[in-house]
Amino acid sequence: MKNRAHSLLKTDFRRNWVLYAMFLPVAAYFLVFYYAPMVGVSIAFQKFNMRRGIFGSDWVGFDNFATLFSGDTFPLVMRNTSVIALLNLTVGFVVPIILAIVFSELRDSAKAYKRTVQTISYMPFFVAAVVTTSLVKEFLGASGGLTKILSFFGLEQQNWLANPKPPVFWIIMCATEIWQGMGYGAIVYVAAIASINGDLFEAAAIDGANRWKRLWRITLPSITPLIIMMLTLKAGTVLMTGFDKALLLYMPKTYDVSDVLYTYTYRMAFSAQADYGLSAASGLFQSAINTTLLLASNYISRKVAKTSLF
Amino acid sequence: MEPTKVQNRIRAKRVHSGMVGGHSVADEITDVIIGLILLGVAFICVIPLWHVLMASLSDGRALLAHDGALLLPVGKLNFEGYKLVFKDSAILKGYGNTLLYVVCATSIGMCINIVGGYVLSRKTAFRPFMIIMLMFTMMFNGGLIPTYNVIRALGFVGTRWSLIIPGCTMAIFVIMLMNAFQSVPESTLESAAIDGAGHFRIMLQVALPQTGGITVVVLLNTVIIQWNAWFNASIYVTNKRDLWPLQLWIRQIVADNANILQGASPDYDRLLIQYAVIMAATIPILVAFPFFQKKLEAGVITGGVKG
Amino acid sequence: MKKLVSILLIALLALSLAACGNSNGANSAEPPVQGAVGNSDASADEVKTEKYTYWLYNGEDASYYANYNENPVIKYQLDQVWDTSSGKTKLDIDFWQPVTGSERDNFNTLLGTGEYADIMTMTAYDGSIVDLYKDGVILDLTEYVEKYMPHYIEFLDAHPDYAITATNVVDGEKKYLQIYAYASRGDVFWGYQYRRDWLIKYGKNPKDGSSFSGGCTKKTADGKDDPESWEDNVIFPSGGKDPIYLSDWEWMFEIFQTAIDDIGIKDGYVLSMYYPGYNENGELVSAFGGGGGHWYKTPENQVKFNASTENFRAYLQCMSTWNEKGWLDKAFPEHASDMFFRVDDVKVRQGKVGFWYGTLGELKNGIDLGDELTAGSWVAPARHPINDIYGTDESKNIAPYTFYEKGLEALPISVSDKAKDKNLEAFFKWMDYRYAPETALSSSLGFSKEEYEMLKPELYTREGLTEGAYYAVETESGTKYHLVDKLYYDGGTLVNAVRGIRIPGLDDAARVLAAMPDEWGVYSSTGSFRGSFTSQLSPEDSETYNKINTRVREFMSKNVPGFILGEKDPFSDDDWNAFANALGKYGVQEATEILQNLLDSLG
Repeated sequence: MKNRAHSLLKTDFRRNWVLYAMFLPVAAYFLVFYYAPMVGVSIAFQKFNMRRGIFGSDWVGFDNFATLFSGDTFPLVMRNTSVIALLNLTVGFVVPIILAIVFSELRDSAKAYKRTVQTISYMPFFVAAVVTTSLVKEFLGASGGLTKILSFFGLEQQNWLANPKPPVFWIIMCATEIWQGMGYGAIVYVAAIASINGDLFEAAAIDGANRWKRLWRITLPSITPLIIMMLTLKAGTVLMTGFDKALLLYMPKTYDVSDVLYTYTYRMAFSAQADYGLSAASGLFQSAINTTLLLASNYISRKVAKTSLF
Repeated sequence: MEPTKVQNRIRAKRVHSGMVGGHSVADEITDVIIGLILLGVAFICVIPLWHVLMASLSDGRALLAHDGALLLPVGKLNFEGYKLVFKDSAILKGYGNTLLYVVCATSIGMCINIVGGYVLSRKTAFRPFMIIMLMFTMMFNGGLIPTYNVIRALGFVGTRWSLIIPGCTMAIFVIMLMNAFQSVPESTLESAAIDGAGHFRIMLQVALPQTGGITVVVLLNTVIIQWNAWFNASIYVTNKRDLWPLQLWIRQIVADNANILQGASPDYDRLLIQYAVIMAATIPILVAFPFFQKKLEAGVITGGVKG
Repeated sequence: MKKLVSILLIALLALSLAACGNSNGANSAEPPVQGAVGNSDASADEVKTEKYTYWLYNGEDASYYANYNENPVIKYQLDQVWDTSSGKTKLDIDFWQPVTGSERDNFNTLLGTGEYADIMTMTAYDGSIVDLYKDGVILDLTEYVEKYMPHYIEFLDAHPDYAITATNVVDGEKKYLQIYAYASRGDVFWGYQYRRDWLIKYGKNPKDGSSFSGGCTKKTADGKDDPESWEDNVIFPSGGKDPIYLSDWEWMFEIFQTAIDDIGIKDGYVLSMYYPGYNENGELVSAFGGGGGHWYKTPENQVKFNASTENFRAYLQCMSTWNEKGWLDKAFPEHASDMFFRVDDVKVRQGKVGFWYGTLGELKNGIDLGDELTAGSWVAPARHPINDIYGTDESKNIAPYTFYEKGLEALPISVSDKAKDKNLEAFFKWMDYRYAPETALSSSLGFSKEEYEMLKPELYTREGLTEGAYYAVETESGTKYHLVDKLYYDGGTLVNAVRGIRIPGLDDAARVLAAMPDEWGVYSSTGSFRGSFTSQLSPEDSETYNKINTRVREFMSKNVPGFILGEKDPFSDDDWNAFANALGKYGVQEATEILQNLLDSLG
């Protein structure tokens, strides 16, 4: 057996050595700029002293993790983080796809219109989080524009950001994320839909498939591999993106629903003396969850959709 | 080649405008609804930047007294914010530096992305291992200080290289290109190989043109990331202001003007600076976008060729 | 003689041009020509130049100059030549300046990678100073301070309470590890303020019920009201022209409520509250005879924790009463991201608030934007109040002694081991020179007209400061100084750029005809702990204290608003005891002991 595997590898090398050689600089890049600094992960297990560095600080095992998990509000924090991450992974993930489909369904004679709207749609992406959140505060404040519209539909006039009832804050977080990222997120799908072979649509149209059917039979299947790849990638980073906005939108009054891992760690590690060990432990914890999510979604997509990232 | 391209474009156009499928009333209604949905999207999305633009053109004192989003500038139309931003040449130098970093980092980054993506898209024994090696970097990172040590060991600290090389690409881009290369039919590549083309020729001349919009998306993302980058510069070239990119200058200018209200008689026009700099930093990239969009739409044509 | 000077100058010019050529010419557009004037007394050939690197926590607006050594005052001071045991020496300092907003990242990176500068501003360091010394990063400065810094020692001798914390105890021995900046007088830039114009319009004299009147009596040259000429006849119930007791405040709040109702302001309120209902520095809480919710020291040098005492309960009772009367901004817990001293700034500046905690810039006609609600507004400062209404006698009639006050000490520096082999004698002689009264004036105010005319610094000329930065005014209490108008009314960037305040020294700016209103300086804050005090804690104690402090702060920010907004009742023993007991569980007592031990050990 061993010999056979060995000879298989040998054939592989003989056939693909050019490819491996091509990959060398790429591997070198990632080794130098991503792997070499990864010794820093060990800070999570240290009582890190900035001056003494990674090799001089005291090792404390899992103490930092214990501190992190033992906070009174940790269960609530995990719940909030999971809910918001889940919303981003579902609603927040689907909206850009829908938007891209809507773009592609726009008739060709309206090209200029499409181009204009698409350019506008990703503008919020360029506006700094501070500005976005200050606008969110203005719109959802006690006399904000959106609050007024909501009260028109019978909802109580209030500062929505100060509402401590679930799921108000979670929806705000997810909606803000969508608002900022949908146009930008749609670009990749617009590109993918644009590169679908036009013949397929024509053939389907001749067969009498209407728009709706063409969407389900051609457009979506064509971009499914891309969707799955993007979803898998998103699952691998969902705990790390978008949460900085919580720091700008939350307040002690709503901690029960708004405190997320990012803000919780931030307060714990940096409100007095900077505790890099704790912050690294939290980062490592998030990485572990992300890795699990990534592997799980890759496994599921391989089983269910017969396509996967690796 | 040429006639096919044109033909396909015409066909695609016909299909998308619903001509083949009949010109039904329902289709017309759907078109109108789609148009309206997009109008709504445009409206929602234009608000933040429009607000910033209007605020940047407002009267400083009046702006302070105003709350809520702006539809028009408050007070007299006022360009003082922009005058203050562009009053010294630092910001222009920042534009120049940013342009240099964007061009260099994007070129180097795209080389890595394309080569990496191509290799990963081919069936080799170590493919899963190589993919996992890249994916791992998406989730774990060592933090600031170990990274600094590496950059210093390479002698990059205090040089432009520290802003070009370390941040020029990420694993996610290589993987996106891998996916794009995978969508190119195996048969095309095989026939090229039979014709005697080597890996480099297959990659650049056969496969890359067929990857369609994804390559452009990755390119666009790299450009935007480089355009917005400031953190590395604040750490690696802190004391070399000649090397600062635009965004770092912008942060500095905003910070310099953060406390103006504490003065005995504040210059309210300085309130406008924070808005004016956002416009100054965003408009160039918005202007550049139609170029990318054309390339994205060109994906229709290349997509047609392969069929 | 003239010939000699001109030859020297030409030689200098040639040298600097050559230097230009070497350094790519990118950032050396202006060779330091006026430097030649400063060191004309020293013959150039024997003066050695000692180079240092200096990490600055913050610099000036980048549009004035790129490196702090181009600051006109610093440049002049660096042109001085020092007699040292190894000959005449001149300093050449390369200032490293982080980008605003990433100071800590920058400092920690440099420290963590060992790339730190010779001299470091320690503002960004939050660990233990003693540890840093024991790790060999910073030097023991005791010898240098005692030998070369007579002015510094002189200041400490005159201020024994500051001298206590100027040194750190290392293995039982007192060592100077840091050099602090000191000011000759504390000054504050924010405090209580209120709409005095509303009192005039809606209030009645509490003695005889007559109406008030007042306004500006003079016009300025350009026909506007001269804010210096304001006069009115407003009298408070306690008899004076300014509010002193909480009863004065409540009288005033009734009037503000009338004003708000009469004008028809829908989203306004009488009193802008701090977030999250109290101020850690003390402030209003201190009106009830204690600290600011957290730890403070009594005049008898007892460390106490405030929030579980009856004083704090009286504070909450007062607040909840005011809330019931509808005087408070009910949304105060939502101002989590506002600056603590500028809560709900927008409403204040829109003219919808009667009383708030604000900055100097809002005083007088500072919020008058000429619109409906602010036209003719007049904002006056108020002193810290004294409680004469709520709680037990222990909380009444005690002069406040815990609140924010700009202390005399600021931004310390340390010298790192990188400078071990350098000529530190010259450096410390220069540092001491910055504590000499005669140099303190130019460091903290900029150049006078005479100095300007002698040195002709380019920045001054460019910004039109041909009269210098300040002028002298004779007053009853001796010579005082006044900034020239352009700087006095500056938003805060030019006024800093023309003086040299980012490096420790004696800050004498308080000798300016103080912008700080007298009302803000009535009481002095003896109950707060200074930064140099808590930096004396041992690493372990410091960590424990910080952990407890963080948890207490979080608990209070979640629970105090409820007592004020009526969800819990500070008059009910049950509610109160539950709160006080919960605080006890967070280790309040342990932290109190840590601070008390330190206080005792310092004597």
